[in-house]
Amino acid sequence: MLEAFEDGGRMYQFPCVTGDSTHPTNVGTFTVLRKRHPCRSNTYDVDMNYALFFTNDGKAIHQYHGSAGLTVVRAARQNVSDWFGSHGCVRLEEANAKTLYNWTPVGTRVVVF
Amino acid sequence: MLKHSTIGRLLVLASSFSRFWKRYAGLRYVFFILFAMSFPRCGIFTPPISAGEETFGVAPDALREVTLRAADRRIDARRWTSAQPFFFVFESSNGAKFERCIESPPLAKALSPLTSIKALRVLNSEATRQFTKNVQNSEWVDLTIADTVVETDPFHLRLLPPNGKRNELFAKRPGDDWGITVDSDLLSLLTLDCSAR
Repeated sequence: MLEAFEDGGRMYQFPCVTGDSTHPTNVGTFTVLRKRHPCRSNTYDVDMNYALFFTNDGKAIHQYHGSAGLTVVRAARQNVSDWFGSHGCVRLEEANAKTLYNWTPVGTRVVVF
Repeated sequence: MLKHSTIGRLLVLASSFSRFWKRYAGLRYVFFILFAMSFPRCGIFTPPISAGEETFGVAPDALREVTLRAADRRIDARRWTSAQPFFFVFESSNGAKFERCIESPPLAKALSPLTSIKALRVLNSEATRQFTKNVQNSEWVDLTIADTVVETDPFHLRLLPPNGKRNELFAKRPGDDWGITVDSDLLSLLTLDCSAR
């Protein structure tokens, strides 16, 4: 689950999908280094719109573009296989990714645990 | 013999499939939907950005390189670490100007709008076609911004500065058939050189 806070109060809470066991999402405290929309990953050649990059190697919070829907992917990851995780990014539903992207300025602190 | 047996098996399989297909007719809709979902979305294309949204933003500390390339001049600003000032190079295409200098307050100020680029207006493919009709290649200015995030290419925009025919700064990513208008401060670096102190 991704939660966004401002002045100690929770602004948003969005379901998300994080990295699988072979590509875990980095744990720690980061900042949003770069925002980019529209955006496409060079490494995986896939769209990653509303991208909020928080590591220099390209980990970002971004829109999930799969056709199955994030809810299905989350359920598949929990009940079927860890394979349904991401390659280290944090995936959100389109509407949630858009809301978070427009709310978040560069420099915002990102804590992953 | 083997051939007949294989054909027989295929016929039995086809018959079973046919019976199954008739019995569970509703399933064909499920298969059709799954089949259709496997294709990327197509049809009428809406630009994926809305007016007011940032198409690019970078933390000032993460900014490393900016290049502006027009037909008659080129400007480079770069640094290796955020602890260093930017190093600027101003060049004209005819060789009349070649200046190198370290960041000064006006030059640093001119880089500031490049750290947050918002779409003021979004133009669909038809509006973009109209906007860029009769534009010469030499009118475009290429902007490239590189930062510490290495996974994606440097950010690249093609810009059409305002002139007598248009009063907005138009921007387009290479390959896109839609565009946006952006703050004209983005090109303030074009009006400066090393004498800006």
